[in-house]
Amino acid sequence: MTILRLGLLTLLCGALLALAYTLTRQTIDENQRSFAQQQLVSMLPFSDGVITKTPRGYSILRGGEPYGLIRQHRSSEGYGGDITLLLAYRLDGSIIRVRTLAHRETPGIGDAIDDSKSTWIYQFDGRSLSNTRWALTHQGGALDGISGATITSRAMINAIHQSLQEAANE
Amino acid sequence: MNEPSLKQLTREGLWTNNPALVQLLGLCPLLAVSTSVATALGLGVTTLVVLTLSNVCVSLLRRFLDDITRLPAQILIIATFVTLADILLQYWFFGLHQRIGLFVALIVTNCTLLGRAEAFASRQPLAASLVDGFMMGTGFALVIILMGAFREALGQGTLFANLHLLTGLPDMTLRLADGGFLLLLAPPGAFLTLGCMIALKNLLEQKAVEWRARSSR
Repeated sequence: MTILRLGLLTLLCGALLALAYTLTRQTIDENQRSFAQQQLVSMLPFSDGVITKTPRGYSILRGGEPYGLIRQHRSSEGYGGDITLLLAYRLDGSIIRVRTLAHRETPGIGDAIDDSKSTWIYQFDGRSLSNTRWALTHQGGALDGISGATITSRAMINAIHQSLQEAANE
Repeated sequence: MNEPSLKQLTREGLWTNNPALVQLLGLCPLLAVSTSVATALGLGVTTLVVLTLSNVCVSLLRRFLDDITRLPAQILIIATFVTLADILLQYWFFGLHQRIGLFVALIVTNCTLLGRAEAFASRQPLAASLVDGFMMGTGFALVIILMGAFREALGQGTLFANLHLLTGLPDMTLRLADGGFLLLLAPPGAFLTLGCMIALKNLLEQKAVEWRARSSR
């Protein structure tokens, strides 16, 4: 009897969840897609770009012509955990924009990599493998660090540099 | 056991037996999510709804379950409602879910829910259990929102940032200062804030007792 009652309740709960899942799945998928789409569109400085999915990321078309590509990159060198970046390049390998999608850096210090907190990440716009020395200024490079967050800054620069190299090798 | 009155349940949930300040239950979400008003409000309201519903269900099923099946059934009911809340948040407030989604599942570990189910709803009629769940949930939500406001204002220098993701209203972020006292946003800041709030509550209670003693003399 005891098992039967618990079984009945489990069945009921399972059915309720299955019902909710079935009814909401389509909208949730749409929400997810439009969220991802918004993120991709926000990578472009112009509004007439068309973004299509490719095996390794996304390609940007403008006026029917290939313009550049968008890739995601994850670094495990962050101070608080993984940092996930979205990077958009022109076909010549120069950066259009870099944005931080997810990170766990220290609030108020390392979180300056988030463009809603600081303009720090804008310094990468227009940079490429050939026009920039990819290191912090105090190590002879061309890039500013975030004060108090050397590990975070270095992780970001390495991640962006690595992503550029990967894109160039394709 | 005689049925407690509405007034009594309200008092207990909001003040004398507040889940966050007196019972010290549900600390994991309380400390982790109280970094801003928006996230605190999202999790506070979700907890409130789940707690009320789980109390109602546990109370309805109290004659159907015996001593052996009661606990597993309560856990099952709570887990079902938390999963349901998780699905519905993604359905209605996808932007908010991106921020607090990780913590919604943690509501299962909020001992307030199991505590109220076992200590109250499994022994009390439907109406009282509903009110108890609602008041305990409100008590918890108020504390987490207050903590969120305090930590956001002093730690980050803003109030109501990102609240528009939750309410659909226009952005109403108040900029109080550029930056703030970072410690409050870090985990120790959560403990310090909660400690101060408990101390303040005890102080108020003590003052009330002294005041009553003086006026009755």
